Amino acid sequence: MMVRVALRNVMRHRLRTAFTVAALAIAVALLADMLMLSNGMEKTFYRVLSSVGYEVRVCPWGTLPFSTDAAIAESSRVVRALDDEPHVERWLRVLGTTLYSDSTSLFAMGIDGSEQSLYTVTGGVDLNAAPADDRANVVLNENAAEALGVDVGDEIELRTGVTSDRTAFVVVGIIALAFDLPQQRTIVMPMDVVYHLRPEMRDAASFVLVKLKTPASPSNSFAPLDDQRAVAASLAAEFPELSVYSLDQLMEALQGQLAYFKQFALVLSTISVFITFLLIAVVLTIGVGERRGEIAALRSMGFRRASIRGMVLAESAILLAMGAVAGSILGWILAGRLDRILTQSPSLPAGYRFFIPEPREIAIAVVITAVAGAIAALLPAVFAARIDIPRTLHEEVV
Amino acid sequence: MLAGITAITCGARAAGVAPPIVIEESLARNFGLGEGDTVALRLPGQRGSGRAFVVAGAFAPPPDPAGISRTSKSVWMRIADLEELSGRRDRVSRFILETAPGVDVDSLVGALNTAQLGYTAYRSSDVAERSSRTFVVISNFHKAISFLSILAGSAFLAAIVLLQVQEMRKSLGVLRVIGFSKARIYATVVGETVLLANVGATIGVLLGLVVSRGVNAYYQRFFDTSLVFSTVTGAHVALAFGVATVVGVVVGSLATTYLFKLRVNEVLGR
Repeated sequence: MMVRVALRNVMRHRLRTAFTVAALAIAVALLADMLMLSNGMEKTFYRVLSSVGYEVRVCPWGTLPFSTDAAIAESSRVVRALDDEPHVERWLRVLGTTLYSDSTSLFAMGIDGSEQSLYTVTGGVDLNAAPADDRANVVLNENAAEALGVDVGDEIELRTGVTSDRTAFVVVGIIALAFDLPQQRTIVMPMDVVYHLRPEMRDAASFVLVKLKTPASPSNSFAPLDDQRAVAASLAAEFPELSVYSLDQLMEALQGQLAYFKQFALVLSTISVFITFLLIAVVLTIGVGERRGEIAALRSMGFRRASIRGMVLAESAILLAMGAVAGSILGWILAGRLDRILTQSPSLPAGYRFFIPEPREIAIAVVITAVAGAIAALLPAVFAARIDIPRTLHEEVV
Repeated sequence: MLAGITAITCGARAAGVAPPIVIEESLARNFGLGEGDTVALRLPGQRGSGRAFVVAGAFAPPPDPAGISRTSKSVWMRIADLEELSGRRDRVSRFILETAPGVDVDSLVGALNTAQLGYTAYRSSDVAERSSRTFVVISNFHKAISFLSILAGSAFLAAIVLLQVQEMRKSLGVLRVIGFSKARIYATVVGETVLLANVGATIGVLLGLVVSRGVNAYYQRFFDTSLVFSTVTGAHVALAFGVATVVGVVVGSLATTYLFKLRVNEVLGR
């Protein structure tokens, strides 16, 4: 009964309701988008890490993979320790450097390990799947293949500096790397070849990726976090000059670099909730004040205080429900638009997302807004229920 | 040349044989280092006690938005000393050229790039433009959020003004009955909404000034930088009052139009 009365009250002033719902919808949309922003970066990181598939990363002390040109000086010591670690299934040593094809610079990665999941081969075969002649095998990403105008089976000549001697290679595959920058030209070759080209870097590695044994799960899933932390702690104790990250530690370190967006999302979320609270409180308080006579009449007809409170709360719920529906749609659309703005930023890995539209974030935003709106409606509801009936009827009707 | 440093140990006063370095002010502050102190440095990922250097002075790095998320500190030393420390010879990250007065910089850059020696030459302005691209993107993001905030604020104001007009309808009805013209009532309502919107804008600008100070204080401390993160300019203030006035006029007109559609009896609540 009171819900119907509340619905009629809300629909009585359609223009006012439309504006109130519009403001609520924007608040819900902003809140949902800020939740998406906060979680989207985390999800992107996790997706990239999942696609690569290694649980532990060993880097030069205080650095993240490829965050500086620092290198682990004696990486064979790390590899020997990993061979002795019972939890380790396999490892991959990676060394990044710059090589040139004529004057075109290429980001070259030397890799060493029994099996790799660092990249996927999209054309041709992987390094160790092709027969080797006197020329070493290399695999390239699409950008590099396009820049050099080569395809699988072609020969390329590379050198460490523009005046150095050239070394011939055979392109055996085209690859896709999860963390490539949009314009990055990447080339991957066996580690020994990089050491041969750059003897001053012998035994160095930019980082070492470690895949742990996962006996009870499929081979591509991650080992339990406790195992990851135990292996990371053990390696960190053995190599104090290195930083060793389990997946959760790496996520934490990566997120630390994007603290600004997290804080921005938190501030804007708080403002959105505050706007919702203020809007509902103001609209209902003025609305109740405007309808004091009507409410007093209802009370004089025998409607109880609880019913009047219920009516005002129902009005709040109706406004919030309409705002939530419109805000959910708006938030979903806006997430895509805002993501397109932010992903125009250079030096972001291809496929990086800031906003990942998810029903979960929309649902959380709706729940938070509903709670804020319900709390905001309490005061006008109590005020409406406590109206002095004779005095109000006298003032309003007589 | 800039070197990444991971290990610092404070030692006794310099004996005068170690090579000099100049360290970042925050590094000197955090480790209590002063001129003449000896520190041992080694590159990330290397073992051993490192090489001894003498602190010759401290410097304040120029505010650089591009390096805002950098957590490492920088130290300047002679290239020969860095080559000795790193074991890498004859390598540099970049050359910085200062041209003589009257030199055609575009021609020089073009000539350098035709040499095809494995480097790319840029004008300083191009480097600034490239390195600030990220911040242009972030600025566009902020503008999009601001636009949404303005929309939300306008809708909020419109709802409130309509409520207010509803509340004032009896008074306005009386004004109509006693002969006030529609134009005069229109001016009264619109004037009131414009005033209300501008009072909101004034509070908003004052709040913005306070928040802006807070943002600068917080992030300057957070990132240990003197960069200015937020400014409230005259253009921002003008925009705030401009938007408030436009929204006030539009919303006031809407409310008055709604009011004029009602009959006098309805307006008077009869």
